[in-house]
Amino acid sequence: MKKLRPLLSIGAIGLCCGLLLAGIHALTAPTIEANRSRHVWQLAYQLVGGQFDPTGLVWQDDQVDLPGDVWLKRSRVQGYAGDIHLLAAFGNGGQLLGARVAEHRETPGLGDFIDVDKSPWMRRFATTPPLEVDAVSGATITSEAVKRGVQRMLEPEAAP
Amino acid sequence: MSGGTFTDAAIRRNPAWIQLLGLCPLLAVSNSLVNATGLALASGFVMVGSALAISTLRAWIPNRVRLPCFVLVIATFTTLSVLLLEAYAFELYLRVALFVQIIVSNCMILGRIEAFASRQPPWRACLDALGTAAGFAIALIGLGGVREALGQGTLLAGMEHLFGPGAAAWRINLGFDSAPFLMALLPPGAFLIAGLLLGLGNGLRNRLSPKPSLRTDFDEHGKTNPDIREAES
Repeated sequence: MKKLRPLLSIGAIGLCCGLLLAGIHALTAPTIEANRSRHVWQLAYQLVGGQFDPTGLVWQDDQVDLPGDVWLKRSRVQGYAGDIHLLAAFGNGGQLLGARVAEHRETPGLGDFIDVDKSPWMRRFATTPPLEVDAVSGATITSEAVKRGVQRMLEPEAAP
Repeated sequence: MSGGTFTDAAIRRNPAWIQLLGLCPLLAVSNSLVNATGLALASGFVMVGSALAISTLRAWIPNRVRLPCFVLVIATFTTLSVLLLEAYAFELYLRVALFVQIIVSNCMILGRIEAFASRQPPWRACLDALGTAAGFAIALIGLGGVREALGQGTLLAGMEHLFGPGAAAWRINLGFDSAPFLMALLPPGAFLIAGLLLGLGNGLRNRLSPKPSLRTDFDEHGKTNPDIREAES
């Protein structure tokens, strides 16, 4: 019994911490979800170059059709420090209009250039084929992950 | 005595300027006042919350597994602060989220918990944590203010991300046409300005007190150990 005491204490503290987190998570989840989807629509406005009304638009198989001959795709790729959430816009029968990163956990200062607020790097996907975009030295894994992810959204069958 | 605990933790043993702890988030996030304030609030929340929790639970934490317990509690409060930021200050979350998540490994917090909160009653632990948090906030906001003024030519820009739309009017333009000293915003500027502020602080302290004390030889009550001082003098 005496040997079990440390285990019991740490288990009890862990249980309390878990319950607290679960409670706060349940409380904040709807607000967080709304914030994230608002953020994704704001990135989409940048990609299609204008605002639209996102009410009523539903993601289906990670794709959503916008007014006009434009649609958005989203996907996740494995980055250096967790999933990178990508968003891409297509138009004119399948041409890539641009891509953005909606969420990531890459190293601050080294891998966060994929955030369009920090560096214009993501804008190159609007003009350059994804696999021909230059990688950033010091963050090869991050760069390659984003390039592969965008390529896979562009050509789901052909990409490796 | 209680006032001593607070000012000791905030000023005389300032976590950033005297103990040089938590410098990674300090240098990385302090490029504007709003980012600095956001991280200071999140760190303070984690510091005070986990100090209170540990101090309350200290009788039930076996010595052998105390560190895992501390880390568990600190990680819980860090995750809580991330959730709250993401829900109620999303714009700020997008800018400082990566650094808020690594508060969990901030040695300043684990250090104060191990050295102080785990051996003291909750009210003293709370005072010490508040002092430490205030000290960290002073360092962050001081550095953030200097860097924003030099690098951007503004003060308090973007405070609406933290305090609501009304705070947009707090922005002060210092009257430069363009950014006067862009490097202040970049990582080298962080090191340079932090070093200059540190030197300024040390100089002031040397001027004010005849016997400068750069030591960290405090005991668990947060007081300098008189034996060591006497032995030296």
